[in-house]
Amino acid sequence: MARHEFSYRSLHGAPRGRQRLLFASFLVLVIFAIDIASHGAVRNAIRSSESVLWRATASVRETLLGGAYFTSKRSLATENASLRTLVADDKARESTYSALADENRALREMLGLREREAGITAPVVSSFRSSPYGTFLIGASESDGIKNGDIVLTSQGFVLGRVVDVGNRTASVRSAFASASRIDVLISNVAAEAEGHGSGNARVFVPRGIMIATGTPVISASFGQRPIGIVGHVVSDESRADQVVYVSLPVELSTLRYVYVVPSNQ
Amino acid sequence: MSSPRISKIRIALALGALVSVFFAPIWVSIVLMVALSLRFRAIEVLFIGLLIDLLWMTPGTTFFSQLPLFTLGAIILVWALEPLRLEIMK
Repeated sequence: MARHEFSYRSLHGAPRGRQRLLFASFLVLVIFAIDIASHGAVRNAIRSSESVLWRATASVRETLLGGAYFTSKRSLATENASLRTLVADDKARESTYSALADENRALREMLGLREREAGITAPVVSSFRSSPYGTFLIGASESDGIKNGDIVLTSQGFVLGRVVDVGNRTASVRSAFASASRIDVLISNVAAEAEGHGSGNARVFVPRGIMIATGTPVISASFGQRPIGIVGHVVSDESRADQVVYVSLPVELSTLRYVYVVPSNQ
Repeated sequence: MSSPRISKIRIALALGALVSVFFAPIWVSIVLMVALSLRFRAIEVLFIGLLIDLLWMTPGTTFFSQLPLFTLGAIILVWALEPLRLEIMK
């Protein structure tokens, strides 16, 4: 039986499918080049759409992630039994009330932070875990006074990251603990370098003799001596000269709805 | 290749990949992109890679941080899997 030999060089006279694939490959590169040449016109449009989509699906996500779907089996059974008795209107009203209560709480916390530091409260308009580059979007832009380099904080005053790209309707924030990022930190008055691991986690190596307690705040000079996390776990091995300190943000990123943006010079 | 059932699988995978770009962890998008590329000559994988870069990538300071990794990765993926795909599609 004759064996078909594959060759990339045999594109001349290739089936239409491969020609289409070749055309599409060039097209995506052209679109990317257009975006760069237009100073991000394409990405601004896409990020604005993401912002609208994120807000439009807020109640659905709230129901899926905050509701009964991810609770224990027992509570699920109880929830199911009670849900059967509820009419559709009641469910919708409860969901709306819950969403508003959460929003109210988040805004109250932001108000407390605002009294301490001058800045802008901005909604989070994208997922924290979808980005492979350790970024997320906030619903504030240049017209709101956002600038590249501004520092983004949680309502408790912990640093989330820095604004790196300001668009027409959204701004892109790179997490302080983005994967492979390196940042100078201070733990219990010991200077060290933290390696970002994404999702608000980092790892720091410090000399073994230094006592570091769980819950100790971790400060960063590059973020204006603000806390960027707390010590979650310390692993010390007698065979090694250093100990590993695992640092994390004391907030659940997926539940964050608002952030506080302060100028970098503050 | 072009049977209605295959087309439905392709549409479902492509839609799943598209939605995952916005809402799911990145590994979900990667798995769906690879699955699409393995079975189909899926030009949509290229556009999904581009979408990931345009949505999440930010200006970097180093050469590698400025590269559209997912766009380039998608191009490599669809072309690198072409011989294997041809075998599957026979």
